[in-house]
Amino acid sequence: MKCIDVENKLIFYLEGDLKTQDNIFIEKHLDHCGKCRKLFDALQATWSVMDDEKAMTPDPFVYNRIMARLESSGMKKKKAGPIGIPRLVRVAAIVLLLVLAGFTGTLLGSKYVQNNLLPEDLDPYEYYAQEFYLDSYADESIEYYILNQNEYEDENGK
Amino acid sequence: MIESDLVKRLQKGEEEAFRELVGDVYHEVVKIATGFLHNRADAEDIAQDVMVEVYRSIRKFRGDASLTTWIYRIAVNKSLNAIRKTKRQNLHADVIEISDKAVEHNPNQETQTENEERAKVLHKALDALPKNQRMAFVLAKYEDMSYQQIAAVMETSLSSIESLMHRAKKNLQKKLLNYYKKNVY
Repeated sequence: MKCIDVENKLIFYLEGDLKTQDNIFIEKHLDHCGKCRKLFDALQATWSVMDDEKAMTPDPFVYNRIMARLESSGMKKKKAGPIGIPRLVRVAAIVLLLVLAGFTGTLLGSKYVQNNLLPEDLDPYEYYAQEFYLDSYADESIEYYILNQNEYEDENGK
Repeated sequence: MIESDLVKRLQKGEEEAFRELVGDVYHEVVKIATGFLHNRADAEDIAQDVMVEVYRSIRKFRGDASLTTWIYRIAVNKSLNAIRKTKRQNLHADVIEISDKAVEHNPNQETQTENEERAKVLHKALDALPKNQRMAFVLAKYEDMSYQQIAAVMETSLSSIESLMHRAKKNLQKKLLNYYKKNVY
């Protein structure tokens, strides 16, 4: 078999498409023809590129990507949440809950203030001043009171 | 899962059935698109487009071919449309001419890895094939489909596919060996 004949069949040899007889001839030729061997090796190496390109790493997010594409194209409606409640209803419910929470807080707060109300005609500053700073009796010990009382009675002739 | 059951569930709009289908065929579609586009990102984009198209059109599926054959046909058509849009065919006119130019004008070629160079040469040889030869070859080599399956996808006879494959291999061999003789040896 001549080089040109081998060259014309190299790809079919590589693909396993040849009959046994042709395979044997080509194998023998490649064993002693360096030029054809180099061509065959180059062809084989190039052919292997396809195997590399076919190798795939599974992408776990493919389905989500396709779903997102469907949703963005309007072909698929967005899912209505975990328990099947439409989005608008969920938003309305959250707003209602917030309003209710605010109202309840105000109500409870106002009751607390009413229970601890100061006398209406008393100025709060005056009340606090009397309660905590000017009522000296609150801080006076019993011994000091008796002593003061005795001095008072002596001075007043009692 | 029997295919007809899956088709019925898909036509009813069962999301779980669509999830199963994506799991079964998505990567096969990516492989086909890779064979045409030679770029993984573009191939993934096409594959997602294909799945969207399947979701949209599943009610029109009559069962004349198998579901996977129908999907692979969509994948081939979308890949060819993408090539047409980007005018890739015009860019990759002839493998030998362009490769020779690359040798002359690209001083960094020596630094390219051998695999990259091999891939480039193979892609240009593939792109230079006539459309039907390329379709048959890509389905056979990238998706490992039998000639019978390819005939179903391409809606032609088995003997036509055998002929297309033989010519495709001949053409690729001619272009690749010419390249090696001029650029490697």
